[in-house]
Amino acid sequence: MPSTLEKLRILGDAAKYDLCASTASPKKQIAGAIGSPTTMGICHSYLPDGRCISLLKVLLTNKCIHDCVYCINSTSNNSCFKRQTVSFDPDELANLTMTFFLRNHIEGLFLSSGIEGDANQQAERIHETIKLLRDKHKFGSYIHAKVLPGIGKDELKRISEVADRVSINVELPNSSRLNEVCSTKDYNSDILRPSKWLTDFYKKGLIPSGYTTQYVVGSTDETDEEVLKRVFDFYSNDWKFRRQYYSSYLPITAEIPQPSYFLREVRLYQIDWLHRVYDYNSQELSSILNEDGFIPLRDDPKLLLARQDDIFPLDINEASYNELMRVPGVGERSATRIIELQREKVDIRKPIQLKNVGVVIKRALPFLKVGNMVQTTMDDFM
Amino acid sequence: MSVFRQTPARQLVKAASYHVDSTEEFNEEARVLLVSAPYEIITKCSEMGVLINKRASAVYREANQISSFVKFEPLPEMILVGECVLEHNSFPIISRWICNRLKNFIILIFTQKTFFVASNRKDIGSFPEFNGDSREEVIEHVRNFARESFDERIPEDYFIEEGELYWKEYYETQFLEQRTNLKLFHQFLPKKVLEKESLRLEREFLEKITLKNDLNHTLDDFLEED
Repeated sequence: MPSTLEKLRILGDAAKYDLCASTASPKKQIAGAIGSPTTMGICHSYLPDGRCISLLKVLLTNKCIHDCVYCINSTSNNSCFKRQTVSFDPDELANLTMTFFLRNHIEGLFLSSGIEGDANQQAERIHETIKLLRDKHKFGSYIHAKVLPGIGKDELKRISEVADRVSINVELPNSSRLNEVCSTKDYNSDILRPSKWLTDFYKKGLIPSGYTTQYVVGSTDETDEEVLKRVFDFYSNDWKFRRQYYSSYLPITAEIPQPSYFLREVRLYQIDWLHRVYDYNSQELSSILNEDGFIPLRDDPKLLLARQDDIFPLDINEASYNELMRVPGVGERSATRIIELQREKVDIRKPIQLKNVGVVIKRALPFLKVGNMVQTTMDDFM
Repeated sequence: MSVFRQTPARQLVKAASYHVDSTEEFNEEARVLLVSAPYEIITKCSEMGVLINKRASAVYREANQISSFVKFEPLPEMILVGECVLEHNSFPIISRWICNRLKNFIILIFTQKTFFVASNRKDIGSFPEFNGDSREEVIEHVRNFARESFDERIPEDYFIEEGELYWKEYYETQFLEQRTNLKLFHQFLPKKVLEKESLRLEREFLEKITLKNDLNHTLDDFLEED
């Protein structure tokens, strides 16, 4: 019988590919509860891969009936990297969570699982663990539950009632791509149908931190166009996903890739932010895809979009917030501050003023009119 | 969807006043600016506005690092004991943040020269004045205060022996070697911050992987041993 420490090693290692960037929850503090989530989220440690640790991220079990080729727990994985199969007892995991939480190692729990038996049985065990934390241990802080493909509506609802955030991994952008890497999941009935239920539960006030999903990028020959089609749809009012995460496919047995291997993932995140935060619509963003349906890796997407935009050069003292957000080198913070200066009728006449409000001058100046100056660019001579 | 929230000018002035270099004269000047032209503080469009922001950022950075990275040792009487090195007088911010998250605990933090006690518990009075000679004395005093004030205790199950070993094992499992990115790592944990005692685990693990992957050469590596 493996010890708790041994289980932590195996089930922590198996969960490290799951992504979660937030620990913030708008839910009200519960009187007498131990811990409460903050509205901003906290990172308690960082890893040499640059990712933060804010949650105890583990699987409940690494036993799994699915054969997804990108997963270390897959039935198709016969490599030497296959680990011994173990499971946490719900009480054991709840105690471990509380121990780490009180030592200020974590902000909460991220609980995922392989599927031992069927999805609903496993969902019950996930629910049992979270319920134990909430009721017996009075744990009031953040819990993210990763739910499993094929989960039933009742089981999903019960988890949604106790978790701050719920996610279901879509992994691939469409049914045919999923079929290329997994023969045991049905895209529509196992993944899209439960995702739709999440939309309903959220509307009814459950899942205070919303629901998210994750893609494995590069495990098939899917194009960025296919991925973005799904992404834009999931951010639309029909689905209302809070966040979507992208993870480059890392073959289990392959050697360490070059850093440039991850550039596609970076570009997808940039497009994601331009859509969610900078308010670019899906048509605009799709316009920068190349003929093969991929985001050009060489140039920053916002720069490519700005070059196509005919609103430039913008007069910095008259531009609106939305216009400013389209300038490369200007973000939310600097746009907000520039609008504040406009309101106070402070004229921006020198680039140093822009630098003080947080604008990246080198990137922004070619698109701005500051004082009476407009920076000359190579395009002016073409 | 906007993710940015501008810190109000009033809060920036307050935070800047906790900076180690902020004198009464500076604080007064900042308060005057807050009344006459608060937008200068938010937009950093004057020298004083820049300075207030710079000092407030330093204080917030310290408060954020301490409240994220301080490691607590729990004691049964709902007490969490931590240790940190403070450069600024940022404890009011740190205690507010930590106590908001851990409402029913008494937080006891030792710094280089002194210690701080804070709690959001409603069932205790103010902590009596006490100047202990040693760390043990201070802890015992706070434990007695807690024992006399309430009956709630931390369950024994949470006191896992070798809790630090569990954390170390967990931390190491989360590392994705294929994605090693030390530049990004140091953006979050600059070398100066990494020297802090509460980040010993991160520091030692970094040394281990740089050695293993041969990422860190110095000139000495190319010189022959005598």
